[in-house]
Amino acid sequence: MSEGKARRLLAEALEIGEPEVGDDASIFSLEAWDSLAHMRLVAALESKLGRPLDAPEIVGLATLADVERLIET
Amino acid sequence: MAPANAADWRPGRPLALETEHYVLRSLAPHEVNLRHVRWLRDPEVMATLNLRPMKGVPDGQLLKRMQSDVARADNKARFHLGIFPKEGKSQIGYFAIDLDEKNAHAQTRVVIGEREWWGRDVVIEARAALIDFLFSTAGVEKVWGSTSSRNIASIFNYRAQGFTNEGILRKHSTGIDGSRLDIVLFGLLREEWVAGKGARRKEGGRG
Repeated sequence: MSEGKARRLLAEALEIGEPEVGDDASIFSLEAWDSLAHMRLVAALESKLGRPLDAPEIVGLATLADVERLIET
Repeated sequence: MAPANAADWRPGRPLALETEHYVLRSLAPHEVNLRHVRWLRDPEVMATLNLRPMKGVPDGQLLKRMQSDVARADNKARFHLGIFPKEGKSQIGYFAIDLDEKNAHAQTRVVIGEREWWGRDVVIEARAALIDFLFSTAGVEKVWGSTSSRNIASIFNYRAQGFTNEGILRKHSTGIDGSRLDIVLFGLLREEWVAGKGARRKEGGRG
């Protein structure tokens, strides 16, 4: 459900395959998750949600689980 | 005076730090050149500082301003360190550091003026060496910084390097387009850095 959507969205932003996005994917562990990928991710989330992310949402975005939580809201 | 590495550095002496891919070293005013002026005129570079590009100011005037800024760095309370890739040698950006000796904390600001180096972990790799120096040699207990909540790359770099968000100053700043911007504060304590809490790419990066 939203986990699959979150994984797909993250994989697209990071320009890697979905299988490479593990359940514990984070900015601390995933090499492909660099600053430019992070910018693509925020843009994709804002496009999907139809609104800009606010400061706490942007600051709190660091894991696959965070992406999933945002999509669920 | 030749720049000293971290082991030989004493307050007031120019500094040079080395990472796997970069050299950070104190700049002298005479090293400021038209490359730096070009950065000031680049809308995308200036946007990372929430500033408009410098238009209508002659090159010579901008050079003087920047030279004055670099001259204020005393390599004790204020540092202005150029970032030089080991390959190519030309400067691609700089760190400005303000060190508060009494309170043992340091604020860092960074500009990567050469945009082809964006997204290559320059900041994370270079700042790691700077943080090591500040904690190990300069007697600092805390490193901190701030950025606009819309500077996504900067926020990413702070978080990936293990900094903690210490607050958000709501609608604290005026953006380039006139909108009100939140400012995000980040801090890193010596013990957190030593423990490697949350940080990645501490030793290298991918250049």
